[in-house]
Amino acid sequence: MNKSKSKGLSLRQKEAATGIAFIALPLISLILFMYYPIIRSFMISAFDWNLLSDPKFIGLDNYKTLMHDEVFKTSLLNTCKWVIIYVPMSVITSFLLALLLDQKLKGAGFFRTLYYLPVVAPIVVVALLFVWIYNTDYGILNFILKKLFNMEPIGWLTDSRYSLFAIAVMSVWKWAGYNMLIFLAALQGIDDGIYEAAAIDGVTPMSKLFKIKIPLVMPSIYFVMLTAVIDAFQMFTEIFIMTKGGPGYSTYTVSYYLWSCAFEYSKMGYACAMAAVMFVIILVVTLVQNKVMDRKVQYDV
Amino acid sequence: MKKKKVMAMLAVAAMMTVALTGCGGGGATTTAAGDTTAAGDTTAAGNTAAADETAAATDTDWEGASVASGLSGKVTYMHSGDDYEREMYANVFSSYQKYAPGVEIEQMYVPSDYYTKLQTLATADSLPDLFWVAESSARMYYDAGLLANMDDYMKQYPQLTEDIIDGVLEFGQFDGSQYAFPKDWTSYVMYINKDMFKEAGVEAPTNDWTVEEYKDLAAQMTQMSADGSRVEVYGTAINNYRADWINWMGNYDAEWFKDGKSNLSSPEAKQGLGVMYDLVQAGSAPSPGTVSATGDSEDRLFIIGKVAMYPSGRWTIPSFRSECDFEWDAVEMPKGTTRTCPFICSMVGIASTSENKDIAANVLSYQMSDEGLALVMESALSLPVYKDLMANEKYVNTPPSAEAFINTSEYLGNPSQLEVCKTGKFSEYNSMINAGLSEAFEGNTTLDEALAKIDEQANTTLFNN
Repeated sequence: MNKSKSKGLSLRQKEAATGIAFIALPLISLILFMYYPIIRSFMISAFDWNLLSDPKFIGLDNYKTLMHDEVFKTSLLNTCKWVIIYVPMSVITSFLLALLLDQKLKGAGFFRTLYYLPVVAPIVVVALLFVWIYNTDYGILNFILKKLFNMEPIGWLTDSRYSLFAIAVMSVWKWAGYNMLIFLAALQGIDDGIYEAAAIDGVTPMSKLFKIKIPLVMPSIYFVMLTAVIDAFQMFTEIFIMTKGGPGYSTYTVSYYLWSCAFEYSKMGYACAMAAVMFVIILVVTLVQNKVMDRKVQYDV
Repeated sequence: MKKKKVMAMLAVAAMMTVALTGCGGGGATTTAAGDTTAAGDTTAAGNTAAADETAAATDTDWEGASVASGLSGKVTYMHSGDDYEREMYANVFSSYQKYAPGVEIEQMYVPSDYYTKLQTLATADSLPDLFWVAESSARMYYDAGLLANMDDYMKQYPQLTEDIIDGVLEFGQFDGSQYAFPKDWTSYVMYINKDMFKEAGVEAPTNDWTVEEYKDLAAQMTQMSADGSRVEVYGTAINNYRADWINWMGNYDAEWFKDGKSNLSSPEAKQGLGVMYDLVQAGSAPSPGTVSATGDSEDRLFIIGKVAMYPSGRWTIPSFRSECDFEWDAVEMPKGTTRTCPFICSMVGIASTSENKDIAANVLSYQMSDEGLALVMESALSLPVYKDLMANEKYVNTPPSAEAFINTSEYLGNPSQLEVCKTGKFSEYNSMINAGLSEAFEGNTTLDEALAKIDEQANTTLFNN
């Protein structure tokens, strides 16, 4: 006893100290750069503050103003539309690509790389590429539609009826490869024995998909859905590059409006109120998603 | 102030966490000779070359030279612009140091996100001694007590206001005192592709033209593709940019901002904005959305010969000079019932917190001297704010011909623009107008509906006091 005391900490204590040190660093940064700013953001939302003058406490006034702000309502509606359009499109496309690449085909690696390439391409490049594809007069999309269906040119990015959808298609193309890899890893993790047993039982390909593959990759679908919804609610970059919220307010999202208020109109308190509302919305949606999907997920197969 | 600093840091961290992107343009630190340090900011000082060539006060007409020789200390000067402007101002500071060998100027050049960086510095109590602030943002900085009163310096350096163009000082005046100084301005004119007019056998416009003639010419110069399915060359272009719509409304004498309220629905404002709307509807000009959907801009369309007449400011001249491979010129904007020219400029402010205000004022005095302005105006990016210099080809150089620019100085300024700038809410109002007009230009709504909507939105949310 005396010997160990003289040497300082016991092995167990040393291990514990090392463990705490490892945890402490990310924990401190998480608290400093994540939780504390979130709390501060909520607090700033109670102030009228243009960053230059001293903040003025106004209680819930920013939230009251939000309730009557038509641009915020439009932005929120657009954000919800975006989630509804983008998330299913993105998840289904990624899953279909993963199913295709899960086949034991020659050159599967090549196609995997090919489909993943847009993910590593800079968003600015992709956005500008699609700006050209969507060009009303010279874009290849309108050219094809004209040749095949004799359709009149469509202002994909200038007509408020199509602009949000057009950006969503671009976004799906850009990010499908990322989720595809997650699905592919999950599909390839399914034991071949299960497929063999199914084949012996004469299971049809459709049944194989719906009764075996989808249930077994449900944890991945759950994860992808969850992150896709959170990402979709925070959509900003594509709008910023492609339309700047226009035409009119047709592609304003909450994130874009929030950014405008904070950094263009110097309404930091108001922007924080918006961020707080978004935080609550995302939290509620995630909790609901968690509740609904958790029942369908089997982790133990 | 400490509390403000903490709040600022937390706010920025909070916004980054909860929302979106990081921000703030990087600066670049160089010496006046152009050396760039790793840190990224720029100093015009410390260069021995400048010190070696000390100039005597008797060698110059600049009134601040004798004061400059006795000054010592360091000031920071923050500005935006492109790399060309960075070099231009480095030359100004370097030239200044010939008179003020004891002064060091740190040039803080911010190529992008200028105002975000300026605001961040302001909140952190680290404002540079001298900095640019837009005519529409000066109010906020004044309200926050961040701008030094310049009245005494204007008395000390009378050349600052001698022969100055009427109306330009007002944009930097608050409560009867000067708090920001207009360093230059840019007129709004119509650039003409003269070769295109010659080829079409159409007479190019002159300074005395009217809006009706403009519309006719725009229609005449518009060329369709062989199969008639799309426009090959547009007669003109419009910008959904404040200078454009302020100009058009001003040319019909519209009081588009009156008694603290948005008044775009007034008949005169409608008439002015109707010019832009009609051109798009007639197919003589591409809608701004159509242009941005090409990933390009209106000035590029002019450069590549896809637009025959293009309204813009003087800032386009350097690129036109180097890139237009055809004969081009500039004429005044067509006359409506009258003519006004929007005031587009960056003002220079001296930070109220500056410990070297005397040096800052001296630097400003040099920048605005004939000698300093000669270095700036050489590039043709902007125009001097002094009447005598407007008539001097060294300061308003050619091409294009100087007459249009000189004439615009006679009707520079717009009362509505001045009034709305003084509210400190122009930025948000500007966004509302851009959004509303883009709806109309893209054909998603009528102009009348768009203007009524803008007025209602602005007057209920922004100007509801």
